[in-house]
Order: sequence, then structure tokens, then C-alpha cells
Amino acid sequence: MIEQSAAAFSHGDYILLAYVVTFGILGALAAQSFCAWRRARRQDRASAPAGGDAA
Amino acid sequence: MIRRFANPARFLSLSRWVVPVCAVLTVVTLGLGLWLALVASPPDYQQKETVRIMYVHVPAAWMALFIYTSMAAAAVTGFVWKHVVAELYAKAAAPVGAAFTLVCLLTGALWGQPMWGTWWAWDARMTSVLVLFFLYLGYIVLVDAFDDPQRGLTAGAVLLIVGVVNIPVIKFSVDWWNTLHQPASITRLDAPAIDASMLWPLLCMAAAFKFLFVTLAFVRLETEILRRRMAVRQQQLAGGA
Repeated sequence: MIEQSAAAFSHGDYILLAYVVTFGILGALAAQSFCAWRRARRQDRASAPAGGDAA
Repeated sequence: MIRRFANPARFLSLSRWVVPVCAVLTVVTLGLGLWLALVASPPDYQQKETVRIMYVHVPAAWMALFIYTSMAAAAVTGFVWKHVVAELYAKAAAPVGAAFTLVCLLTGALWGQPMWGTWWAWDARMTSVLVLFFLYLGYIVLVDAFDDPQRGLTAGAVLLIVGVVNIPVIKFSVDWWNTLHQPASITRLDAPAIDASMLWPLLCMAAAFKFLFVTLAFVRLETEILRRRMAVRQQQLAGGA
């Protein structure tokens, strides 16, 4: 089944898939990283004592 | 220099300008790299248009090796100097390294099918990269498997140091064994065996991936430091109550 669908792919399909896979994975990781970073910064500010603390 | 950045507060102040600068450099080099890779560079005389997959596959493979090596170096630094930021760096960089290794494996399969007629072969290069991916996953699972976060980081550091033996195996597998995977074209002792019209897109994409890694590593490391700081505050509050 996979072999049949592979034969139907053109070179352009493989290139498109490779770039979609690459930037899909890296984009998802970047989005997750920045969301976690923003959440951590917000929680850090909320939990900070009034006089500040040592890191 | 190593002790200078052992202070998390100093790292956080450094992160405040490194993240935006590297994010901008990522966008610029990625834009230029994609234009060179998909528009400006010519098709290869053997691989035809499929050579364009190499412009993401090869830099991803370089990043997979570089990030693991840097994590192992950080693990040694954490052991020898009790460097808090180095230990947290390994934890922060691991998902980024795993992502680049996955990209390398998947784009390799997407290149292999039209070029070799197979998605996968159990040859030394591909198998050792798959082992690297499992090492990344093993590390990610191991560091969070303990109630005490410090014990998790120490156990993970041991895995990183033991697993570093796989890096020269990956690099030299194409020289040591007869593999389906072709030998190195760029990182050779003599001149690169690749034309400048294909070398520049490759180097530009490699620079983009490097800047992306630095951006994500700093963002994730800052997140880890902030979480630790909040955990310390909660312990102090619980102790004072």
C-alpha cells in the first residue's frame, strides 16, 4: 500500500512533505516553548515577594 | 567564564537581549535560506529537484549531533563545577535536539524513497542516528522520572556522558562501514565536494537552524530557571507557614 502511494508521488511532493514536516515540527516546538516561557514569566511575577528575592 | 554564568540572575539578564537578537537573526537567515534552497539553487544533475530536501536534512543532522555534544559537555560541567545553569541547559536543550533528530530521520526517509527506492535501511549511519533519537527520548523521560529534580538531572547527566560514544559512531559510520548512506560532502579535511550554488543555501539554512536553536535553548532555559525560582519561593512559604 505504501509502495503504491510512494510510486504516485512526484519529486515535488517529496520536497513539499519534507519542508512541511520540518517546519511543522520546529514550529510546534517553538510555539510550545514560547507559550511555556510566557506562562512561567507571568507566574513568576505573580509569585514574586514585594521586596524582591535572590534568584 | 564558566563560573560567571553559574548565577541564574546573570543568565536571565543575558537572556533578555540574546532571545530577541537571535529570533530576528533566525527569521532573516531562514528567509534567505529558503529563497536560496527553493528558488535560487539549481537542481542536481543526478538527484534533480529532490536535492532541495538536503537543505533541511543535512543542517538538521548537524544540529542533532551538535546539541547532544553540547548537552554532554554541560553534563560534565554540572558534575565537575556543580553548575546549576549547565545542568538545566541540558534539560532545556533536549527537546530541541530530539526535534532536530526527528526532522533528520523523517526528511532522510522522504529523500531516500525517490533516490534509493526505500524509506529506510538498517545501515550504520541511519541506525546510529535512530539510537541518538532514542537517547534524547530516554534523557527527557529520565530527568522527570524522580521526585527529587536534582536526582533526575544527575541520572540524566550520566546517560548523556555514556551516550556520547554514539557521536563519533554517527560521524565516522560512513567511513568505518560500507553503508547505503553517502560519505561526508562538507565536513571533510580537504575542500567540500559540493558546488558553491548548493553550498550557500546549505550554510544559510545551517545558520538559521543554529540561531533557532540558540533562541529556543535560551527561552526554555529561562523557563526552567523561573520554575525553579517559583518552587524555591513555595518551599520558603511552606517553611514559614
